[in-house]
Amino acid sequence: MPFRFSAGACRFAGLALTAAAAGLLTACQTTATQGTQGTRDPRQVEARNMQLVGHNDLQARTAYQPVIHQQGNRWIAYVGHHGGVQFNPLTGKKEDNGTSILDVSDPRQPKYLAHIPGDQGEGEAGAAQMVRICDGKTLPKGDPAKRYMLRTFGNKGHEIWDVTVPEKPALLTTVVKGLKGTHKNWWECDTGIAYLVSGVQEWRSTRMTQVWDLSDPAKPVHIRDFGLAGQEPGATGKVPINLHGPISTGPKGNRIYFGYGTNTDGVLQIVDREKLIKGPKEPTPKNLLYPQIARFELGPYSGAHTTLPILGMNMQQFAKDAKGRQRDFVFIVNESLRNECTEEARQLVYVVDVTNERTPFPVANFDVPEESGNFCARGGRFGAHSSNENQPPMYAKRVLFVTWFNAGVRALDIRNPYSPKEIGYFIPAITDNTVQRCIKTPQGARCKIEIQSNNVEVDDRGYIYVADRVNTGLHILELSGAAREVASFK
Amino acid sequence: MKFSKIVLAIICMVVAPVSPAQDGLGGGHGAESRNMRLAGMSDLQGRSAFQVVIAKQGERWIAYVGTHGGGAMNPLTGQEEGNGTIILDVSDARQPRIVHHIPTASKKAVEGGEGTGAQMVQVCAGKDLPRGDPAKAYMMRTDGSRAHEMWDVTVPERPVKITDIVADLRSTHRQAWECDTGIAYVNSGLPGWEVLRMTQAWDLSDPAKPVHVRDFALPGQQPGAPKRANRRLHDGHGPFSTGPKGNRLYFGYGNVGSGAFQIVDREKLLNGPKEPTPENLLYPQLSFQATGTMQAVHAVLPLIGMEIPEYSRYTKGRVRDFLLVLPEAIENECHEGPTMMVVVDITDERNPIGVANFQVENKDGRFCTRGGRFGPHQTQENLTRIYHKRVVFVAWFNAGVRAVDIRDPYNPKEIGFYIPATNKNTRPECVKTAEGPRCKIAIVTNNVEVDDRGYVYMTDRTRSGLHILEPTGEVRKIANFK
Repeated sequence: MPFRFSAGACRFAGLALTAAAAGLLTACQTTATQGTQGTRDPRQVEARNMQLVGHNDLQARTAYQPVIHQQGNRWIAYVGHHGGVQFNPLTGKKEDNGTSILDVSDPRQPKYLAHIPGDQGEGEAGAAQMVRICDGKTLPKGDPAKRYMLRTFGNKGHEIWDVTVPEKPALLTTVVKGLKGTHKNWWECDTGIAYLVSGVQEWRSTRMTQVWDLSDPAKPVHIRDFGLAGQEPGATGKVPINLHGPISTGPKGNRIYFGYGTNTDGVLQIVDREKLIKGPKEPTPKNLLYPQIARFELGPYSGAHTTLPILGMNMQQFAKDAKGRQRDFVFIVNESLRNECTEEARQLVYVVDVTNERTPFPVANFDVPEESGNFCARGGRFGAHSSNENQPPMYAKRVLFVTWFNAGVRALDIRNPYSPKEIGYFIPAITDNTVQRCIKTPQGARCKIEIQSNNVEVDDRGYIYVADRVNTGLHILELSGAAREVASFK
Repeated sequence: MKFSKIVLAIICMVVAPVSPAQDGLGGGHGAESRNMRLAGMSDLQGRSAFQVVIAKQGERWIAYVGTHGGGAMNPLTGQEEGNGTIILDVSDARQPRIVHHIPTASKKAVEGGEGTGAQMVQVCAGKDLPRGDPAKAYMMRTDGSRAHEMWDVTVPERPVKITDIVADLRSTHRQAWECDTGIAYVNSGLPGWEVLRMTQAWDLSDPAKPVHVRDFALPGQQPGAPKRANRRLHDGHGPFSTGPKGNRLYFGYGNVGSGAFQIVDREKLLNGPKEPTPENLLYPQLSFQATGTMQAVHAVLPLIGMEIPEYSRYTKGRVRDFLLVLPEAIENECHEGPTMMVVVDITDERNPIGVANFQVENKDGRFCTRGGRFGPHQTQENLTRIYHKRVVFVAWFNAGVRAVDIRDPYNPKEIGFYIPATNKNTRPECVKTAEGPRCKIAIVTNNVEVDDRGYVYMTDRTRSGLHILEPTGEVRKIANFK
């Protein structure tokens, strides 16, 4: 039985007595009451080996991607939002959802610094879902004194902001506008190369890749457009599934792992970075195939939202084997799109062996047992969505966090990728801000209010940040108990 | 005796109820088990055994055991005989009785060698075959690398050869014979093909009059194709057929490294254009999937129409098709890459995707040091409702036979195992070292099969014989004995 304790009480404790907060958190846990089947209260946290450190309501905005960046002695969290309108107490105005900026130096008391409004529109249509941060001193031609934020503007464009003073972000430049889609970007801080998920008007899909040189954030240089062969202008036949986002291993690894598809027809595409950037740029099928090393398809039941490479794993269990002791893997995280297990198949995590990168072959899966929380009936989406992408030493090749919508965030022991194991989880409590999710029934819409943990990221200190899709805010967590032993905190 | 030795002896007594049979070379070992127990055993005359199939003939249960090369004394004839096919009456599984041995010319062949002996065997009742004699039972077997043969085994004590189905081959291997149609897929090595092992389809509906249907392999392996650097790349291992109803053939390919499997339309294979051109060879193919860095694909087992309990509340994807894909460990003592069974989702059969793996826990590499091969080889092929889609038994060489709960194919779980004791016949297995060969005595479980009563049969590659097992505890509970 999971322990449940009141998140509200913990939050209150954290606000009231900063110094004693940690102690009171423990008290919250020790006074936890055990829940019983059938009487679950969504205002109670459910957790195992993960505990709440701090929380921010994000002005009740529906939240997508959190990214945490150390700026001097401060730790700043940037959170991208889905579309909507909420009141911003800092300006006293109603603002279209955009980007939230928080000081999380003290994770027990995250402090809301600024909200940059985004595009009009609801859900995935508006706002500014995606955000990436690079320091000027890391970028080849950045101003060493500055910090830069790359974000989407609705589905129309990509912008770069000067966030040197996080309280006073200033628009620096619009990289590109007039698009018909945007999504999860990747920005290499050491080279400045960015892979922007864009919908270029002439292309056949609303989400493909634009490669930009943002080494000088003030002067973006377009390198090329890219996608799966068949997405390019003028192609015929079925349009290959939309891109979700890439992850690059930079010039050293020279690989980019692209994930396409959400809950169906997923594709993992492994690309030679050098060939992508320097190869022939004209979007012909031949030129699009030139940098492609492998295209692995997941079939009609699964998408590929996050394609996270975990390379060079030394396999302890194969220590005595003469060959194959070191393996490369990609964790493919599907995305659940539908509420209450309707209209789609289970979305989970596939572990793909890419040691022979031309023939990727999945060897394992991770899933959350539905019965363990009666999750299909609970309300909202149930299933995988996204893993952390930052890989600080305490978690790299050891622990991976995956958001699971109404099953919160799950902590996985991935030291043996052939057998990923759950070592902890945290399902935040809903609040008065949490909004409902509905399904159609013959009697009309039936709606329920439940947590929808959307995206997760970790910072270099090891704190875990979970953003909620249904306006519950940002939860900052830490590992505890046996799960903390799997990580490497020295 | 030192205390530690006493402790060790006690542990051995607890873990191994059957005492170690042999000292000296690696010592040998006792039996180890969980949720499976020994019902009966035959020494198989000390022959290196490969495939085992069990048929019900009248009121009797008869086991047919194929062997690798070598020779041994047959007490029934008083003669030294080259390893061939051993026929046993297993009606009383507690007292299996050898009733006959059909020898081959493999007496002087390398002990336990491949391509000699009579490795493979299949049995069909005449009443099931479209044009068989209803009073008869038929056995197909390999004869070394030379031929596939047809025998009359109506009286198991007195098998009579009917005919060579095909002879003058360079290689033979796995056979699959559909008893209801008589179509057989036999692994042959035909001169001229750019691969050692490919497939021949034969119509054996009248076992006395074999009719050749066609030859089949991967495009690029056909006669006249450009010479390949590695002629054994994607060697065929023979298909698993779901017959006319399922209309699918699942082929495994590969010898060492670079494995693959292929899903084929049976109807198109049998009735499509037969000339071995690349186009015609591709015509019946639905998909071809490379298995990455895994080893070759030795055995496959389809599990079609699995209801996934975990997905019972979903509107899509509740019922799935799977293929179990098994490589073969080849080298002794883990002198190769790790090998495992992979569960592949073939619901979209044009786009197979792996979803899970099963490995035998090898804590501290203990199976890598006990001698012989460690890794999977093959599963049962009889789809008896007792075990089908519930329990898969996997032959795992020096880890014996492993019972795997496959009801949730996303999470295959080991629920039992049996490693027989070595005995006086067990042949040492060696590895090369700087100081010369180092040999150890260990069980090397080669193949496993089940009969329709639920007995589990395992054969030993290193001459330890045939062990007949029965499930207990959780294995018995998960099986369907109603």
